[in-house]
Amino acid sequence: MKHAERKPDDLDRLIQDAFERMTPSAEVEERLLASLLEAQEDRRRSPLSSETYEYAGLRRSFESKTKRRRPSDPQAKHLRITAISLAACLVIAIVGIAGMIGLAGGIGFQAKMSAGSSEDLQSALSAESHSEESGEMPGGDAPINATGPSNENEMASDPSEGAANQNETDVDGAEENAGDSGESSGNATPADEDVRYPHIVLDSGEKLEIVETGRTYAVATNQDIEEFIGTAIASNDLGETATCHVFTSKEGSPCPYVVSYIGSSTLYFALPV
Amino acid sequence: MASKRTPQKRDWDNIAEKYYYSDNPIAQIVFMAEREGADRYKAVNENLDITNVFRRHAKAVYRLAFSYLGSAADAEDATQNVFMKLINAPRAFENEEHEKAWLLACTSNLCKDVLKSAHRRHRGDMPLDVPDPKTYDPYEFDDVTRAVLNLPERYKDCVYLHYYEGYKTHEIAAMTGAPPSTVRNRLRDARAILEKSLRKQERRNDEAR
Repeated sequence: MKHAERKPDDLDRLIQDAFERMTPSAEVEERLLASLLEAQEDRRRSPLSSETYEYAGLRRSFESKTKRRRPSDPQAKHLRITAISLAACLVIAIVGIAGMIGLAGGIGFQAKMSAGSSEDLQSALSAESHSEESGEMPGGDAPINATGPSNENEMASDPSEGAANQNETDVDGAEENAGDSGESSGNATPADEDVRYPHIVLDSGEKLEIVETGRTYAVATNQDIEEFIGTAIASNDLGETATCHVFTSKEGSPCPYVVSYIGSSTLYFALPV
Repeated sequence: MASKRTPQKRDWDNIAEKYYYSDNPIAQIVFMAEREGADRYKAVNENLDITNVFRRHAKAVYRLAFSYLGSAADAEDATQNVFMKLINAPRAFENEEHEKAWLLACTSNLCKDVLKSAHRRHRGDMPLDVPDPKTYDPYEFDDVTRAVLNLPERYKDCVYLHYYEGYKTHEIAAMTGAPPSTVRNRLRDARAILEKSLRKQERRNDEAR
């Protein structure tokens, strides 16, 4: 024993003696050894301890490996939490997109409803344009100088071109409304809001621009119209032109002008450039 | 695949049949690797001579357990549990010192667990007139033994290994896993506590006389 080799002072010796008194008696040692040997023998004899007991731990680990149970190490747990969070974010994003689509559909439906109420106006406008070609003005008013003389002459001299323009928009409208069986092509659809000719020039030389609100255009209703100004030429950035009707808007409306394209029932707000 | 062996209707054989003869190559590899580990386990277990190991280290284990738990009955239980751990999970040691270090570390941990256990903590709740066979009588020990038993837990293994077993600071550090400076501090503090406690006891004895 190592303590015998040391040269202890008083306290050291006292501590050694104290531990020495804690030494088990021979009887206790023999009893402990006997119980240990018995336990070891029991373990060897028991049906579980012969071979299978030794493999008990193995079996558990083996089964856990082959069954591919959920890993419990912290890294796997962290990955699992991250994956769940990402999945939750994905679900929220999908729900958000679906909500936006639903909202856009609702706006389109609202526009369709408002367009339905403006059908009367549209029919009046078509009748008006017909009478305009014949030199009459609706309501017996004085002739409107909405279009310049050259345009007027052009339209008068070559009505087929104006008709072609009109037909062009009609064809677009017809294509867009192909799915609407039995409905008139004048009904508003979300595609109507795709303004192809946003630049308008009045007879007076004043230039108007269709008002954009984000990705769409500001849509007006019949209630926003106060007075019909006349027909004007609308153009786009490519130089293509079309005919449109321009109105003044009522007080309280967000913009001073309302524009209606021939062949489309949607009304748009326009601002002077 | 290896040739089929005769199935033995034992628990682990059922597992073996299920996976070893399955078409899953990964399951077969896992099973073979585990089987090799189990064979090694079996070999170590067969070579374990618990009688010799017990005779070599039982006293040290018992003394350390006693210094922690302060009772002969608890020390016996702890000693038995430590050697049962070795029987249940036999391992190959490099030498006798390695074996002793493992057993003493195991004893220390087991005693700390016992002291933390709910049973041990609630022992003081028992009525005074109910005898508890595992509660030791402090007056059955002399002053020094009482002072050693009353040392805080963290000093006990260092004190035993240094003052009784004669290990140096760095050897105790290697055995307990604590830094050598920590071991030195613990030994110094433990010595101061023991000196103070013994001086106090001497004064009390003088007054009693």
